[in-house]
Amino acid sequence: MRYVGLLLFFTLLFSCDADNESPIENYFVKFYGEDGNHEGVDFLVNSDGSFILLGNQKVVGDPLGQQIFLVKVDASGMVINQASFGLAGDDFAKDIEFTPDGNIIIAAETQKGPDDKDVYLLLVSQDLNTLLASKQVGLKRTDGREADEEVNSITLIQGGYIVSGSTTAVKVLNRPDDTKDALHLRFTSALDLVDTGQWTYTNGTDDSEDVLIKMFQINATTYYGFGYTNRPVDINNSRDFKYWVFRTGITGVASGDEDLLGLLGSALDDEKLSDVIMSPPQSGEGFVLSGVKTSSTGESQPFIVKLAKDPFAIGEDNVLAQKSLPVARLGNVENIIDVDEDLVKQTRMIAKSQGGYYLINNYKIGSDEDFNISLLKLSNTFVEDTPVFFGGLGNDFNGSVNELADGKIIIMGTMTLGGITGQTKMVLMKLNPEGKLLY
Amino acid sequence: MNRRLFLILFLIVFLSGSAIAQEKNCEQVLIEADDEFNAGRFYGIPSMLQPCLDGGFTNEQKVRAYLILAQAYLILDDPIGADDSYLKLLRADPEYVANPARDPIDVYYLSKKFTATPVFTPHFRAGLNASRPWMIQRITTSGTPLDKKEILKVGFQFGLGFDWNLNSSWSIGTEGNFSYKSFSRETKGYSKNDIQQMKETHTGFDIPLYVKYSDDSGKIRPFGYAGFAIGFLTSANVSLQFDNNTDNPEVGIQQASGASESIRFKRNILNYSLVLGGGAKYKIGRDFVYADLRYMAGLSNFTKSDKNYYTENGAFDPSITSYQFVSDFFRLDNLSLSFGYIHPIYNPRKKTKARFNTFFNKKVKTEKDKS
Repeated sequence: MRYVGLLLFFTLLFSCDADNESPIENYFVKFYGEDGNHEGVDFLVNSDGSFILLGNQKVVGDPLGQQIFLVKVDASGMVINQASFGLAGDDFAKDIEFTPDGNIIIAAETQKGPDDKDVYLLLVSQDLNTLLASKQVGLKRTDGREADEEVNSITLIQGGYIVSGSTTAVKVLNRPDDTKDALHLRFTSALDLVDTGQWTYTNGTDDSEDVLIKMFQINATTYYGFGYTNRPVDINNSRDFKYWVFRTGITGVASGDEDLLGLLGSALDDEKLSDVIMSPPQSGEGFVLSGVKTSSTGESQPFIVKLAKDPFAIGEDNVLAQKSLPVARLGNVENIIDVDEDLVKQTRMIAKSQGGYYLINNYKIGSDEDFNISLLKLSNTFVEDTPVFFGGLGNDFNGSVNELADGKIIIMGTMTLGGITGQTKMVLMKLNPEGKLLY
Repeated sequence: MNRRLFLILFLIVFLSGSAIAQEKNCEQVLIEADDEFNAGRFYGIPSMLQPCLDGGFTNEQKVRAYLILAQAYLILDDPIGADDSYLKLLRADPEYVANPARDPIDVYYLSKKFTATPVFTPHFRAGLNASRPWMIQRITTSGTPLDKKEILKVGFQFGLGFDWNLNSSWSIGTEGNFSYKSFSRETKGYSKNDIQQMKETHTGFDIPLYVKYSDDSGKIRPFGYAGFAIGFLTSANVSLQFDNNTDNPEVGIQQASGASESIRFKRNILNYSLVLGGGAKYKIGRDFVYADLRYMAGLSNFTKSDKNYYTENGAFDPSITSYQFVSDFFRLDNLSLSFGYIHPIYNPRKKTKARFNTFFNKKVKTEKDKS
């Protein structure tokens, strides 16, 4: 009996090496996409832990050009289903949201011709098997030519959606700096365009590049729009890009933006907004704006601003905080060839369930180095933690970030595989609350 | 000159002749001692044999002489002398086994009080091995199932060991082996058509501890053993290649490969195995050569979970993007064939009741009783 005990002891001693810290469900890096280049844009988390990933797919020789690529994966990152959608000509997925009935709505652009992209909406079933509805909307310039629409986001509102972006269908012609106006198209739940006369675009001051990043419905009659503009800010007519906030009434006509101009950024740098979130109570209520600030020398770094819950309250200090983040800098990203500037200067934020924020952006130190994805933890007052970087030898770009109920962080983006010149694939990373690929 | 040569030749002839003469004399002494014994004159035998025992007997003659002495002392009721003689017999020939058909029965019973079984038996071994990883958890960067094919690679090992002999059949053995192990894998299905090739090599020391049973007689003696082993990893390297294949012939294959990289920091330095093995010893003189087939079933995970996705300095590992390489959590099984040489260190002695002996003898007895 004693020897049996000894044998058991040794067996247990040597054999109990099963790792409880299973990486399969708890942390992973997964790549998606078959032949060709794939780009990760945004994702949704289902209540069962599965994810719906939105991106783009470009396969050499595909007669349809770039297509919208959707993948549904389980909680461990394994593919449940995948599908591609799109029209003839390149399509560019931009944003994805759940519809109230549990399906998904995708905001995208579709290329009709040179300098002619239209807004393209797709309503897809949760299992990705069915395209329930789609809508293509293109505006015309006042001279009758097709305008170029750029989509940045889609917002669920009561009874439908608002697509935010920009259009070259500027309201007033013959103004040299009036290159884009902010686009805010409103749709019904059935994807019908609403009251196009009012809900089309906002012109800023008519002689500037105005881009809308996202709109929020504040109540039944009030909407806030967040974007950037290079409208002149002083009597010298000096102009550079700054974050821009405006509000509209139920008709979609913008008003009440002047009191914030000149505050959201430096007159010496260009600040271009990339993302806006509503900050929840645990992080301090308000709106958090993130984007990239670029100096006149081309040096770029994330720039974040926190606005009051009512940024238009008169007589209040509505800018609660603003900060440049050198720890997550992009370095000099001007004159970079073969890389889309909008992709490079993209930031995404999410409020943490325990207070504070996560910010992801692209990161690059030297001019010869490649882009990596940076994850930065911030306090409610924007005190920075040490950033964590993800990426290989080629360029890697952030897509979106979210936090799960258990505190785990999900990052989606694009990574270059197989060396510097390899193909790009959609990447999904599940990380622990410290941003590490650990339990 | 001629005189000197003659002198040397004379000395050689004289000395060898003298040795032959002495051998003949001692053989004569041995015959005479045997005659004395048969004649019942026992008392003079020790003094008769002593001069030759001091320097004239060959080993075989010594055995015969001590056998006569042991018998004589037994008859003379001198157990101390008998024990001493038999012990000296075993020193002359540690493999001598008394046989009731050949030897006097009283000598046979006397022999039961002694053993010459080596306490420790050192041996040297060297050979080849093949390793195969077994998944504890499959970890990949692919969101779709992959087709993995393990490719056996040959490694080598060499080392020293010794057996602590509990009795003539049972022993506890341990070894210190240096080993070079290698395993390779081809994985298809990344991004549908892409292929990853991986080769990992380990060097390190394996220290097995096992219980061995050996046949204790015959020219060829089979043996088998089972136990545990602790492994110390001294190096771990990986070579990777990634083929980006596409359906489109215009794009073709893009290949990424690099030099072998150290991933020791990603591996647990200590690992454990179950050891099972067996083989046969072939007797040459008093020594043996042997062949040993051993299976080491890995019990522990080689992969450090906290390092799996990172470089040594904690950065995101570029192998993840260059080759889509992330290590599985795996155990490593190893099959080896070794050839070795055993030199038993005999230790003639009077038997004592050891704990292990009791246990093993009891086991043997119980099994005999059952049969």
